[in-house]
Amino acid sequence: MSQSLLELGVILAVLFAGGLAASRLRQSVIPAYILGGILLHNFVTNVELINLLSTIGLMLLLFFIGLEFSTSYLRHHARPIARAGVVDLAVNFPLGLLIGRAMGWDWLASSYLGAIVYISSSAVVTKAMIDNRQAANPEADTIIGILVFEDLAIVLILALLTGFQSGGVEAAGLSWTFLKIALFVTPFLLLPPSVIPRLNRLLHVESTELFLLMALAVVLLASALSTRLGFSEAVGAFLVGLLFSETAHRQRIIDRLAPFRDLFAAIFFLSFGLMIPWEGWSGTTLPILALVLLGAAGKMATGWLVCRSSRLSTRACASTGTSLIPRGEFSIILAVAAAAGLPDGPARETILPIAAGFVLATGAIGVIGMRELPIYWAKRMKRKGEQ
Amino acid sequence: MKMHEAELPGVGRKFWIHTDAGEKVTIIRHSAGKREVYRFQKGEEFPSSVIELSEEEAREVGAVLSGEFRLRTVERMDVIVKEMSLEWVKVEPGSSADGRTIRELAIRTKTGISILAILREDLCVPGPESSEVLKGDDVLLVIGRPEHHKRFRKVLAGE
Repeated sequence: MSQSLLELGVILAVLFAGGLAASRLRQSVIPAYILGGILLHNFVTNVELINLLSTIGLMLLLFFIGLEFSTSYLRHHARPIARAGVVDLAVNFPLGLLIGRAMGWDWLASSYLGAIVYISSSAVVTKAMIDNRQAANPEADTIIGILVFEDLAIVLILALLTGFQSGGVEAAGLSWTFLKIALFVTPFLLLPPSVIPRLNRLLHVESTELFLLMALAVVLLASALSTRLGFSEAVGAFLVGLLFSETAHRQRIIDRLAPFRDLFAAIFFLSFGLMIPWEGWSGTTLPILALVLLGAAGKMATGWLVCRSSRLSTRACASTGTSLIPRGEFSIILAVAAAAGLPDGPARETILPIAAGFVLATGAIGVIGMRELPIYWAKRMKRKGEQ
Repeated sequence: MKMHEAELPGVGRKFWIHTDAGEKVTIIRHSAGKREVYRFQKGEEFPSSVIELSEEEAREVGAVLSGEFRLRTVERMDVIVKEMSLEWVKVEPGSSADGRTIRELAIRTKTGISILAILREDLCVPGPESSEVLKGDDVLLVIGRPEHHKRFRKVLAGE
């Protein structure tokens, strides 16, 4: 018992120190948390406890993405978002898929890698955008639109991939997965509006303490149901969040649960680093390097393709591409789901360190790029002016 | 001239206006509370300046900009903030209220106003009973929302 307490205390201290260092360096805290986990790999013995806490973190992360998901924004800008989102998916997903195949992985493992490369980090990008005061820039709408599309896409991808993983990829397994998605996911997306007032009454619990317990119970139970059906916990958590986002209690849930999300999500990121043994890194340098280069190039190309159709300047296009480079929480969630479900083999052994290296590198490159690009551009404009 | 508004999921809400001077002013209201004012000069994609304000500061600056700001002698008039205000009202001699009790006038039920005190010559009647008879030249200290005050003035005038 005292050993577990000590370990948890050290974990929290490392998270704090890493987070502090990251904010001093004006970087996202997520890479710092992962690095903390990588460092502590040989120290933590109570893996079961950490795994449970980190699973709660994963659920709360996705629950909040559902809760804060802006359905009205998607509805108002459906066409430009869909166009940009599809370009983003079509450019970046195949890159990871191809590298996976080139390493001799099967289609399922390669698809996981495709998704890991595809998905940018809403958390890292939004934070860097606010820190660098780029939210008022003309390209901000395009970037945010793509992030919104990705938030939705990732849940469907997770449902599909984890569904295939548990159901198999033969014809019977595939159709069973699609049927389950149709029965489990679509009711949440196509909810009759009359449900919301009823939910409002159901959620109307005066006591803040009981309200908290109820909200957490619903998230955990929905996630448990999700795993029972063969999907990732994240899918159920997101859908419940999406459901609650339409109710009058949205803000109250956010206010109550945000501290728990912060705590458990930090443990989730650390536990991801924790899963990677130090010797697990051997032989991953080349794939990581290839993924980082292609992943950065893919997002720059996305920025350029999306921008060209919306009459933005070259600078804005470069900024769009750069801002999409950071990968983070979603890539990690995918890697963890892959490592948990893939059959034994090289893919299962190396997907965690590959994803970790990829996330750490793209996070740093993207955030530094977002900060330096405007400075570079201002200098260039000045030079042009002088000539 | 028109203020535009758009949502920025994950950030907050964005408002922008093109001024007659040819500039664009963008205001971002962050979900976390802070406000930013960006000034884009004509044809520029980078803001030439950014002002960051806390929620509190934004309210004060906004009041000055809209012309609603007056230096307040009382530091924090929370009464006013909450839309309640105190007013001194005189009972005109010979008006319909002159010589009637508060109950007869049904002030609380009809107008929503509460009478806190009555100043009568050199006397003060704090928290008057509903059986208290109002007299001409009484000055009443009353509290209520603007619409309450409006209704109260009508009752006093006998309308």
